[in-house]
Amino acid sequence: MHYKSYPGPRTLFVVWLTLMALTVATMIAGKVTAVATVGLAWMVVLMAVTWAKSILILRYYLDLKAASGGWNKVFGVLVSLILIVVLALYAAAG
Amino acid sequence: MMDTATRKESSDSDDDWGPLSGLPGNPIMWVLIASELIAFGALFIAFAAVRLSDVELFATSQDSLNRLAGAINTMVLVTSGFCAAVAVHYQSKNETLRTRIWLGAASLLGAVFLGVKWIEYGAKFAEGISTETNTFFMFFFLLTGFHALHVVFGIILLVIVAWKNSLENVITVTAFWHMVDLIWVILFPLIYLMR
Repeated sequence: MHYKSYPGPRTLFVVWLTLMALTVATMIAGKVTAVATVGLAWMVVLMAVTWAKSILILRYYLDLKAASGGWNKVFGVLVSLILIVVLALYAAAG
Repeated sequence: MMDTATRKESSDSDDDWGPLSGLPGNPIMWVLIASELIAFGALFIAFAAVRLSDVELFATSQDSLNRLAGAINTMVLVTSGFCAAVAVHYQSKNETLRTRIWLGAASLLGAVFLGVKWIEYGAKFAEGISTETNTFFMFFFLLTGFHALHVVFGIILLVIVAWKNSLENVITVTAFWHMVDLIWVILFPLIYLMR
């Protein structure tokens, strides 16, 4: 285990600020207050922002950046695959 | 530098798990996290696949959701995750009081999440909308309800480790909490925004 490498409050605060900023980006890209469809281009943006948020949570909140044995990549690939398949299905809908 | 207790816990946990020893916290929790990610991932993909059969119905149904409530809940869970992560830092320094304060804050924000969800569900039920309304709402209640159950379970675990606060307990339970956070971060744009 990797106790001594666990991120400190300052690093975590920067990660939290970034996650909050990315959530605001999600709200803008997803037209939270508008009754309108988003469109494929904005869906791509939404999934890209979601991917960035997921990777930050995996690397810093879950501390996978300190994990050995390639676990960081394993979980990163798993999340990426889910998002790519979802986006491909949305793209197929036109 | 780790103290003696920390080194002892660390070496105990490193002993028997092979490649899983490279993960923070109890490896069994990581098996659960991977299983949950795969299960929710399959449901997300099923949602997107079923949507293909009636895009219009899904878009109309999504427009009736309270997207602002979903966005607020995203911020609440992300902040709760931050509190849980800071709690691990303080537990690694053997600062029990600070650990408990941060775990308490994480739990409280979890309760706020459930409160917002309760209001959201109440509004939908008042409109006569339920799992039987249409396919979209079947998925909506299934996914968000299943996730909310994880939040309830996570809050209970956070309270327990605030009491039984060994470093491994805190790391393991906060890992579960971050998994709940991660699933919501994917669920929110998919169910509420992509229309």
